[in-house]
Amino acid sequence: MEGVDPMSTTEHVPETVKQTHPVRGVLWGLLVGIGLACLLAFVKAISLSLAPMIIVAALGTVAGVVWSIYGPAKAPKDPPPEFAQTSSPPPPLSDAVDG
Amino acid sequence: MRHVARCCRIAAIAVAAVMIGSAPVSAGDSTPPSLDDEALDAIRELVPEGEPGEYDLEGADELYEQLGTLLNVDAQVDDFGDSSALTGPCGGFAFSYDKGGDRIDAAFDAGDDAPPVDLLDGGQAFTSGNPFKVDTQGVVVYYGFSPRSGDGPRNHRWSITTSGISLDSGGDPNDLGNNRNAGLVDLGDDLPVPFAAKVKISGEMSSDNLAACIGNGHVDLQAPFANPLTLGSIVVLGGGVLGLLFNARPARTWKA
Repeated sequence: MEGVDPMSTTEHVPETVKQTHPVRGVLWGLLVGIGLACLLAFVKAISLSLAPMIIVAALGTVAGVVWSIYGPAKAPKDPPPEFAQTSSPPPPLSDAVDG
Repeated sequence: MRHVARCCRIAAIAVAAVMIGSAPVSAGDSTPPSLDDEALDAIRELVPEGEPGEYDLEGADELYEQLGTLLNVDAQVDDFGDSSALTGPCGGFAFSYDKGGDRIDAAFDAGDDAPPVDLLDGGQAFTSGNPFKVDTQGVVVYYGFSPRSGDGPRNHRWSITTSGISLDSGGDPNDLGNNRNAGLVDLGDDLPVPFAAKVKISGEMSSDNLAACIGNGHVDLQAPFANPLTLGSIVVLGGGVLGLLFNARPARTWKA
């Protein structure tokens, strides 16, 4: 531990942050909306016309965005990193020579 | 969706003979002629229960006259003069049969102000509550006129749309002045895949010498549930749900 100042060591408690994917939510939500609109049309729950199908597709897209932002977050895949230890860097060699 | 558009186009052409010239079916200001059970039975007897094959014009004309008589409507519509644009000098009948050749629906329009009539139950045909049923693996036999007597539409232009999107359009000089047609559409042969849906179709035909024929109607396209388009929709929906669950779900990461 030569050159390390023990007093400069800082311990960090691991924290997590929520990462959202709204663009993915739009794309997958649109796919859900299109699939749902077609399915509803082909089982005759809605008429095969533009207005109701666009509405269902839009609802699917909105649901996808909401899910991607406010959905329950997955736990981190990786284990928490070791408690990070930061220390003052050793002085440059030139400084040591000069000093 | 190309197949959907194609099927709609074929179905629309098949039923256009009845739809065009009818008043808007949702208007509800016209009612079909009231029919008692005896009259309905007589009408049903005229509509072949099994697929009759394609009619020739004489046979279709004769059948149309008989149906018109039983329905107590004037089948001779000679001159509409300055008729309104909601009706037109055109009408006809269409019989629909399933894949096995069994009759599933039949409709008739006299080309007057009254809406088309369902020949099997006597009610108004082509409504959202009573759409014209078409098996996408079956056939539709049709007969149409414009007008019933006299010169046909000269230099006519027609279009068939759904949701404002053109399914098909065309026109013809019709130099001979033909005013009627009969035929059979075999959807089983024309469509690559069967599918089910309810569609609202609008049709319009205008010409140099006749009032425009404008009609709206609902068609119920029938097919088994396990058809390619329904199954494909389930696959697309399932793919989207999986993507949302495993690719778009928020995730926690360790703060740097």
